[in-house]
Amino acid sequence: MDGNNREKLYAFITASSFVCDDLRLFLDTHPTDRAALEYWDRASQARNEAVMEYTKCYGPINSYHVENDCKWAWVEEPWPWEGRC
Amino acid sequence: MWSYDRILQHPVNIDQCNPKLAQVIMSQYGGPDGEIGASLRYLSQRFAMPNRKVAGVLTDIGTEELAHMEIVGAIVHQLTSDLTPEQIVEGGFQNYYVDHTLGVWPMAAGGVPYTSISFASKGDPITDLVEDMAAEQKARTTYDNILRLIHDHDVCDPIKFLRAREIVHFQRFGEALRLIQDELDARNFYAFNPAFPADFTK
Repeated sequence: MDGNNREKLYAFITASSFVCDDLRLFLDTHPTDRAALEYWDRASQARNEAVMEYTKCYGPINSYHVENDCKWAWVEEPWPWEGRC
Repeated sequence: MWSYDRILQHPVNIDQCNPKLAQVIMSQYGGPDGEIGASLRYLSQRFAMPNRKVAGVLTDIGTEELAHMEIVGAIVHQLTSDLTPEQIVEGGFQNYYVDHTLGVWPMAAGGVPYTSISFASKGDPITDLVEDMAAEQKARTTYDNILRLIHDHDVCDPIKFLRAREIVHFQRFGEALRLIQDELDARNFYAFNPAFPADFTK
Protein backbone atom coordinates (compact mmCIF):
# COMPACT_ATOMS: atom_id res chain seq x y z
CA MET A 1 0.00 0.00 0.00
CA ASP A 2 1.57 3.30 -1.02
CA GLY A 3 0.64 6.91 -0.28
CA ASN A 4 -1.10 7.15 -3.63
CA ASN A 5 -3.50 4.36 -2.74
CA ARG A 6 -4.15 5.93 0.65
CA GLU A 7 -5.05 9.25 -0.99
CA LYS A 8 -7.28 7.54 -3.55
CA LEU A 9 -9.10 5.54 -0.88
CA TYR A 10 -9.52 8.64 1.29
CA ALA A 11 -10.90 10.60 -1.67
CA PHE A 12 -13.35 7.77 -2.39
CA ILE A 13 -14.54 7.78 1.25
CA THR A 14 -15.01 11.56 1.12
CA ALA A 15 -16.98 11.34 -2.14
CA SER A 16 -19.10 8.31 -1.23
CA SER A 17 -19.86 9.77 2.21
CA PHE A 18 -21.19 12.89 0.53
CA VAL A 19 -23.29 10.76 -1.85
CA CYS A 20 -24.84 9.16 1.27
CA ASP A 21 -25.33 12.57 2.95
CA ASP A 22 -27.21 13.88 -0.07
CA LEU A 23 -29.23 10.67 -0.56
CA ARG A 24 -30.18 10.66 3.14
CA LEU A 25 -31.83 14.06 2.74
CA PHE A 26 -33.67 12.97 -0.39
CA LEU A 27 -34.89 9.76 1.28
CA ASP A 28 -36.07 11.67 4.37
CA THR A 29 -38.70 13.33 2.19
CA HIS A 30 -39.08 10.53 -0.43
CA PRO A 31 -38.96 7.37 1.73
CA THR A 32 -40.47 5.02 -0.89
CA ASP A 33 -38.48 6.11 -3.96
CA ARG A 34 -37.25 2.76 -5.33
CA ALA A 35 -34.34 4.14 -7.35
CA ALA A 36 -33.08 6.20 -4.42
CA LEU A 37 -33.40 3.24 -2.02
CA GLU A 38 -31.35 1.03 -4.35
CA TYR A 39 -28.80 3.80 -4.81
CA TRP A 40 -28.54 4.11 -1.00
CA ASP A 41 -27.88 0.39 -0.60
CA ARG A 42 -25.09 0.46 -3.19
CA ALA A 43 -23.52 3.75 -2.05
CA SER A 44 -23.59 3.04 1.67
CA GLN A 45 -22.17 -0.46 1.16
CA ALA A 46 -19.34 0.85 -1.04
CA ARG A 47 -18.64 3.60 1.50
CA ASN A 48 -18.58 1.21 4.45
CA GLU A 49 -16.28 -1.26 2.66
CA ALA A 50 -13.87 1.58 1.81
CA VAL A 51 -13.93 2.80 5.44
CA MET A 52 -13.13 -0.70 6.68
CA GLU A 53 -10.26 -1.11 4.20
CA TYR A 54 -8.83 2.31 5.10
CA THR A 55 -9.14 1.56 8.81
CA LYS A 56 -7.27 -1.72 8.41
CA CYS A 57 -4.44 -0.23 6.33
CA TYR A 58 -4.02 3.33 7.63
CA GLY A 59 -5.95 3.97 10.84
CA PRO A 60 -9.45 4.74 12.10
CA ILE A 61 -11.97 7.06 10.42
CA ASN A 62 -14.46 6.50 13.26
CA SER A 63 -13.51 5.83 16.87
CA TYR A 64 -15.84 2.78 17.09
CA HIS A 65 -13.64 1.11 14.46
CA VAL A 66 -10.35 1.61 16.27
CA GLU A 67 -8.33 -1.60 16.06
CA ASN A 68 -6.11 -1.54 19.11
CA ASP A 69 -2.74 -3.18 19.09
CA CYS A 70 -2.00 -2.55 22.78
CA LYS A 71 -2.37 1.19 22.09
CA TRP A 72 -5.34 3.51 21.48
CA ALA A 73 -4.85 4.61 17.83
CA TRP A 74 -7.61 7.26 17.66
CA VAL A 75 -5.44 10.30 18.37
CA GLU A 76 -2.29 9.21 16.47
CA GLU A 77 -3.11 9.97 12.83
CA PRO A 78 -3.44 13.52 11.38
CA TRP A 79 -6.79 15.28 11.89
CA PRO A 80 -8.62 16.21 8.69
CA TRP A 81 -8.33 19.97 9.27
CA GLU A 82 -4.50 19.82 9.28
CA GLY A 83 -4.38 19.82 5.46
CA ARG A 84 -1.84 18.06 3.28
CA CYS A 85 1.50 17.65 5.07
CA MET B 1 -17.54 15.20 9.71
CA TRP B 2 -20.33 14.07 12.05
CA SER B 3 -23.16 11.58 11.86
CA TYR B 4 -26.19 11.31 14.12
CA ASP B 5 -27.11 8.34 16.33
CA ARG B 6 -30.72 8.04 17.47
CA ILE B 7 -29.85 7.78 21.17
CA LEU B 8 -29.64 10.26 24.03
CA GLN B 9 -26.39 9.89 25.94
CA HIS B 10 -28.53 9.67 29.09
CA PRO B 11 -32.31 9.03 29.02
CA VAL B 12 -34.78 11.85 29.71
CA ASN B 13 -38.35 10.86 30.68
CA ILE B 14 -40.26 13.64 32.47
CA ASP B 15 -44.02 13.21 33.02
CA GLN B 16 -44.78 16.44 34.87
CA CYS B 17 -44.51 19.74 32.98
CA ASN B 18 -43.00 22.65 34.89
CA PRO B 19 -42.34 25.91 32.99
CA LYS B 20 -40.60 27.55 35.97
CA LEU B 21 -37.94 24.82 36.04
CA ALA B 22 -37.66 24.91 32.25
CA GLN B 23 -36.65 28.58 32.38
CA VAL B 24 -33.90 27.82 34.88
CA ILE B 25 -32.56 24.71 33.13
CA MET B 26 -32.66 26.46 29.74
CA SER B 27 -29.53 28.34 30.82
CA GLN B 28 -27.54 25.14 30.37
CA TYR B 29 -28.75 25.07 26.74
CA GLY B 30 -27.78 28.58 25.60
CA GLY B 31 -26.55 30.40 28.71
CA PRO B 32 -23.01 31.64 29.47
CA ASP B 33 -21.86 28.24 30.80
CA GLY B 34 -24.25 26.15 28.73
CA GLU B 35 -23.65 23.14 26.52
CA ILE B 36 -23.80 25.01 23.18
CA GLY B 37 -21.03 27.35 24.31
CA ALA B 38 -19.03 24.41 25.63
CA SER B 39 -19.26 22.57 22.32
CA LEU B 40 -18.39 25.65 20.21
CA ARG B 41 -15.49 26.49 22.53
CA TYR B 42 -13.77 23.10 22.18
CA LEU B 43 -14.61 22.49 18.53
CA SER B 44 -13.27 25.98 17.66
CA GLN B 45 -10.11 25.71 19.76
CA ARG B 46 -8.93 22.44 18.18
CA PHE B 47 -7.87 24.01 14.85
CA ALA B 48 -4.95 25.87 16.46
CA MET B 49 -4.11 23.15 19.00
CA PRO B 50 -0.58 21.96 18.10
CA ASN B 51 -0.72 18.64 19.99
CA ARG B 52 -2.63 15.90 18.16
CA LYS B 53 -3.72 14.06 21.29
CA VAL B 54 -5.06 17.27 22.85
CA ALA B 55 -6.83 18.13 19.58
CA GLY B 56 -8.44 14.68 19.90
CA VAL B 57 -9.58 15.46 23.45
CA LEU B 58 -11.11 18.74 22.20
CA THR B 59 -12.86 16.92 19.34
CA ASP B 60 -14.25 14.16 21.54
CA ILE B 61 -15.37 16.42 24.42
CA GLY B 62 -16.76 19.00 21.95
CA THR B 63 -18.73 16.18 20.34
CA GLU B 64 -20.02 14.96 23.71
CA GLU B 65 -21.16 18.52 24.50
CA LEU B 66 -23.38 18.38 21.41
CA ALA B 67 -25.01 15.31 22.98
CA HIS B 68 -25.41 17.27 26.24
CA MET B 69 -27.06 20.12 24.36
CA GLU B 70 -29.53 17.51 23.10
CA ILE B 71 -30.17 16.23 26.65
CA VAL B 72 -30.81 19.75 28.01
CA GLY B 73 -33.05 20.50 25.02
CA ALA B 74 -34.99 17.29 25.73
CA ILE B 75 -35.44 18.30 29.40
CA VAL B 76 -36.69 21.79 28.45
CA HIS B 77 -38.99 20.33 25.79
CA GLN B 78 -40.51 17.75 28.15
CA LEU B 79 -40.93 20.32 30.95
CA THR B 80 -42.91 22.57 28.58
CA SER B 81 -44.92 19.96 26.61
CA ASP B 82 -48.70 20.39 26.48
CA LEU B 83 -48.76 23.58 28.58
CA THR B 84 -52.14 25.32 28.74
CA PRO B 85 -52.34 29.13 28.48
CA GLU B 86 -53.22 29.16 32.20
CA GLN B 87 -50.11 27.12 33.11
CA ILE B 88 -47.98 29.44 30.95
CA VAL B 89 -49.13 32.48 32.93
CA GLU B 90 -48.99 30.71 36.32
CA GLY B 91 -45.46 29.47 35.58
CA GLY B 92 -44.24 32.93 34.54
CA PHE B 93 -43.51 31.53 31.06
CA GLN B 94 -45.43 34.20 29.11
CA ASN B 95 -42.43 36.36 28.17
CA TYR B 96 -40.65 33.38 26.62
CA TYR B 97 -43.85 32.00 25.11
CA VAL B 98 -44.76 35.18 23.29
CA ASP B 99 -41.57 35.06 21.19
CA HIS B 100 -40.91 31.31 20.93
CA THR B 101 -44.22 29.53 21.74
CA LEU B 102 -42.90 26.15 23.00
CA GLY B 103 -39.85 26.12 20.74
CA VAL B 104 -36.42 25.58 22.31
CA TRP B 105 -34.20 28.65 21.74
CA PRO B 106 -30.67 29.22 23.10
CA MET B 107 -30.70 31.87 25.81
CA ALA B 108 -29.64 32.36 29.43
CA ALA B 109 -32.13 32.03 32.29
CA GLY B 110 -32.16 35.83 32.52
CA GLY B 111 -33.30 36.13 28.89
CA VAL B 112 -29.94 37.10 27.34
CA PRO B 113 -29.60 35.46 23.90
CA TYR B 114 -26.78 32.96 23.36
CA THR B 115 -23.53 34.80 22.65
CA SER B 116 -20.04 33.54 21.81
CA ILE B 117 -18.68 36.35 24.04
CA SER B 118 -19.03 33.76 26.85
CA PHE B 119 -16.08 31.72 25.57
CA ALA B 120 -12.57 32.20 24.20
CA SER B 121 -10.62 30.60 21.39
CA LYS B 122 -7.30 32.30 21.92
CA GLY B 123 -4.91 30.23 19.81
CA ASP B 124 -2.67 29.58 22.84
CA PRO B 125 -2.84 26.00 24.17
CA ILE B 126 -2.21 26.95 27.81
CA THR B 127 -4.67 29.87 27.71
CA ASP B 128 -7.32 27.71 26.02
CA LEU B 129 -6.91 24.64 28.26
CA VAL B 130 -6.99 26.71 31.46
CA GLU B 131 -10.16 28.35 30.10
CA ASP B 132 -11.58 24.89 29.39
CA MET B 133 -10.92 23.70 32.94
CA ALA B 134 -12.59 26.84 34.32
CA ALA B 135 -15.51 26.34 31.94
CA GLU B 136 -16.13 22.81 33.22
CA GLN B 137 -16.14 24.12 36.80
CA LYS B 138 -18.50 26.98 35.90
CA ALA B 139 -20.90 24.51 34.32
CA ARG B 140 -20.61 22.22 37.36
CA THR B 141 -21.44 25.18 39.64
CA THR B 142 -24.48 25.99 37.48
CA TYR B 143 -25.69 22.37 37.71
CA ASP B 144 -25.20 22.54 41.50
CA ASN B 145 -27.33 25.72 41.54
CA ILE B 146 -30.02 23.99 39.47
CA LEU B 147 -29.99 20.91 41.73
CA ARG B 148 -30.74 23.13 44.76
CA LEU B 149 -33.91 24.32 43.02
CA ILE B 150 -35.32 20.98 41.85
CA HIS B 151 -36.47 17.89 43.69
CA ASP B 152 -38.32 15.88 41.03
CA HIS B 153 -36.32 12.66 40.47
CA ASP B 154 -37.10 12.55 36.75
CA VAL B 155 -35.47 15.97 36.29
CA CYS B 156 -32.64 15.55 38.85
CA ASP B 157 -31.45 12.29 37.29
CA PRO B 158 -30.22 13.63 33.92
CA ILE B 159 -28.98 16.87 35.58
CA LYS B 160 -26.85 14.81 38.00
CA PHE B 161 -25.47 12.86 35.05
CA LEU B 162 -24.51 16.09 33.25
CA ARG B 163 -22.91 17.44 36.44
CA ALA B 164 -20.77 14.30 36.75
CA ARG B 165 -19.57 14.69 33.15
CA GLU B 166 -18.30 18.22 33.94
CA ILE B 167 -16.02 16.67 36.56
CA VAL B 168 -14.73 14.00 34.15
CA HIS B 169 -14.04 16.66 31.50
CA PHE B 170 -12.20 18.81 34.06
CA GLN B 171 -9.96 15.84 34.79
CA ARG B 172 -9.27 15.17 31.09
CA PHE B 173 -8.50 18.83 30.36
CA GLY B 174 -6.09 18.79 33.32
CA GLU B 175 -4.35 15.80 31.72
CA ALA B 176 -4.37 17.57 28.34
CA LEU B 177 -2.67 20.59 29.95
CA ARG B 178 0.00 18.27 31.34
CA LEU B 179 0.57 16.80 27.85
CA ILE B 180 1.24 20.35 26.58
CA GLN B 181 3.49 21.18 29.53
CA ASP B 182 5.51 18.00 28.95
CA GLU B 183 6.63 19.55 25.63
CA LEU B 184 7.74 22.82 27.28
CA ASP B 185 10.55 24.03 29.52
CA ALA B 186 9.53 22.94 33.03
CA ARG B 187 11.30 25.97 34.55
CA ASN B 188 8.91 28.38 32.82
CA PHE B 189 5.76 26.90 31.24
CA TYR B 190 4.12 30.29 30.84
CA ALA B 191 6.90 32.33 29.16
CA PHE B 192 5.18 32.55 25.74
CA ASN B 193 2.42 31.15 23.52
CA PRO B 194 3.74 27.71 22.50
CA ALA B 195 1.62 27.78 19.31
CA PHE B 196 2.83 31.09 17.82
CA PRO B 197 5.11 31.63 16.07
CA ALA B 198 5.10 27.92 15.35
CA ASP B 199 8.91 27.50 15.31
CA PHE B 200 9.55 29.51 18.49
CA THR B 201 9.71 26.38 20.66
CA LYS B 202 12.19 24.54 18.44
